[in-house]
Amino acid sequence: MLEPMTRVQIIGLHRQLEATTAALARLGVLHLENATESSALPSLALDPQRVRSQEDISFLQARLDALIQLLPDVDGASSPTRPALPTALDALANTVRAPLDQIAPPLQALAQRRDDLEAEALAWPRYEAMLQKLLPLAAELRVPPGFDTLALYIDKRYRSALDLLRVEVEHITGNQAQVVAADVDERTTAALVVFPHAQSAAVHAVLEHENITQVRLPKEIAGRGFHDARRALEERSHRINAELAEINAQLHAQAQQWRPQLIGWRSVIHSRLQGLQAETQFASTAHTFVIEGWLPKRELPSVQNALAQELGPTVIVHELPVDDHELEHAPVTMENTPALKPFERLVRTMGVPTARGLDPTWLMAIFLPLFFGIIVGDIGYGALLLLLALFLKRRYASNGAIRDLSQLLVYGSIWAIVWGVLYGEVFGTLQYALGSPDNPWPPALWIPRTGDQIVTLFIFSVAVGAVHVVLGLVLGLWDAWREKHRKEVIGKIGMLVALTALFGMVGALTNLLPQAFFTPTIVALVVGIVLLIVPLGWMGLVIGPLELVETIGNIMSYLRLAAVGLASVYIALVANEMVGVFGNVVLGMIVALLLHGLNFAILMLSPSIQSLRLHYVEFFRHFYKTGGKEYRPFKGEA
Amino acid sequence: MEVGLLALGAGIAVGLAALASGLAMSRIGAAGMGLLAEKPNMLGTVLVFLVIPETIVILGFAVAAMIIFLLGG
Repeated sequence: MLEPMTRVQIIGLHRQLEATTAALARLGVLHLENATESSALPSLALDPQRVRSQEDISFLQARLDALIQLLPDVDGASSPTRPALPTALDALANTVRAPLDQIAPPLQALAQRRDDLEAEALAWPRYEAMLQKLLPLAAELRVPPGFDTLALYIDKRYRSALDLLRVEVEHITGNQAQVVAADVDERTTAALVVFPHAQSAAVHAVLEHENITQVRLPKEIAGRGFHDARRALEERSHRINAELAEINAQLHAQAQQWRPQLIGWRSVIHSRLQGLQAETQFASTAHTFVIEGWLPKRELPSVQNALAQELGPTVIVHELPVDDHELEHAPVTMENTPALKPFERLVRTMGVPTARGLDPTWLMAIFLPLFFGIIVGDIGYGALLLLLALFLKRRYASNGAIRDLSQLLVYGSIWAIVWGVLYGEVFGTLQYALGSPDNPWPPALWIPRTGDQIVTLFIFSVAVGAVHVVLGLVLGLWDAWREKHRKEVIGKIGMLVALTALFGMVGALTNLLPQAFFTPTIVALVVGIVLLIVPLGWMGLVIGPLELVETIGNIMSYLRLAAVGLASVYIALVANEMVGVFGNVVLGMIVALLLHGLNFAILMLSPSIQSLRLHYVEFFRHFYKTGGKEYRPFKGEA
Repeated sequence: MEVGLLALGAGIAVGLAALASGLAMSRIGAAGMGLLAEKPNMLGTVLVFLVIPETIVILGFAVAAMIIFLLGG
């Protein structure tokens, strides 16, 4: 159900503002409203000094975030706690800033050095691979003094450019250059060019003109012979690894010492910033601040007591009178027992209800598992689903979403077993193997789905749909009556009258009702359609009948309760028939188990989605109005 | 012959309905995935829109079952 809310006003002296904000953050039940709008008082003026202090601690928070990111997570470090820090902004900033200024620069330098070394370590293997490919070529070269060497990689498709390069370079250097080339893999050709140092600029200009990429080595090893360069690479790689290990050890030690404290400081600063943000909604007079907001009615006494104890009689909490119009804008929260919480989560996915609307959680708790059970309707599958649900609930007790979903599955699987008893079904058709084809065990207490009474099942499904949709319409009518929406009331009455007339007509045609009922049902249908049309004006001539057809479609949609269930029965039937098809019992059993497994997987998902869809689309549309404001209480970080 | 025609009729009823349903759901699903990529919290709404066309195949199944059991029986 929707939690009854009340609007409160809190007034206190300016000197108690920070303490009051901190107390409200700790209590975490007040949904703040802008006090300046309702009270026509000016907002709490933030003096320039306070604004500067706020900016200071925002900056400190950013610095803390950056520093915490640099430090690794460490096992065995003490858990973060909220340290006792001064409440006043300036004192808070000074207390945190001083140690931060001391520890941040060396930590940042260490982290920067680590990043540089890691980048370098990533690049070395690439250079080593290049050198590995160039070494065979280098063996062919003699590099006299005063000569430079450069290495090139060329795509094999453009190998002809090498010949042009050779001609150009020999021309520039007066035949003093040497070019050797070889394929290094299926796509690349490497080349080494030796030329006099005096023609270096001209040779590089040719390379640029021909758009040929030169292999550039780091300056630490450029200019050395290739063998020396390779040895230097290996040594450098070892030194990098050693230095990285030392830096990581230092960072680890710093993290053990500082990380919990930094996280604690960040938590306190974050709470203070949240408080400052909240204060922008407060109003003020010359000597007092004014806070307005909503909280659950049942929390009012505890809030009054808590503030009186912490802050004394100079902070007053009093309840404001609220009219219907204001109540429409109250924040909304649902309050249900723990058993209904999983259904509440599902209802919330459709949006927050209006403040004066209906909470359909308890209705969903009744019908959703029931529909799930009608669709699955099998003792064997139901028992397996129940075991799985209990296992998941125990295994993931700390994960809220999985725990709730498994609780839903528990309810649904219990109903699946109940309907399995009514249908007399065990894994589709195994009841005939456990008993006999004429006397299955367990016997169906109602109708077997594998028999020839499918039409009865369809009629039952449509009847369930009729009950569910009519219930939705009745709730919608009650809500419209309460809200005094006259046109909506007339429309809902018209729909109910028209539907009742249609049911009566069907009853008369199928001899469930006396034939004499037929004519009155026609009259009632016309009356119902007229009542649908009237509230909508001329447009109602089209929209009214369309709405009736749409509602009939909604009811027919409940055929899925039978259809989806029958689909799984037939898959199970095929699976059971598989045992004897192959002539080999073992092979048949394996195939049967696989099919049953597939069926089980489908049964976990499909009935849930279909049941949910019936609620969201066919049921809720008749009465559930969303658009309410969600209850978001002001609270500090845990 | 008659049994064969009944079976054919039932198959066409559910097959065409399934085709129409699949066509509708494929487009809704694609649009829904695009929405979820930007707003993951819209999963509930997307799921609702995705399953709306399933009514078509359910009604086709119902027609097929009635052909087999009412006309065939």
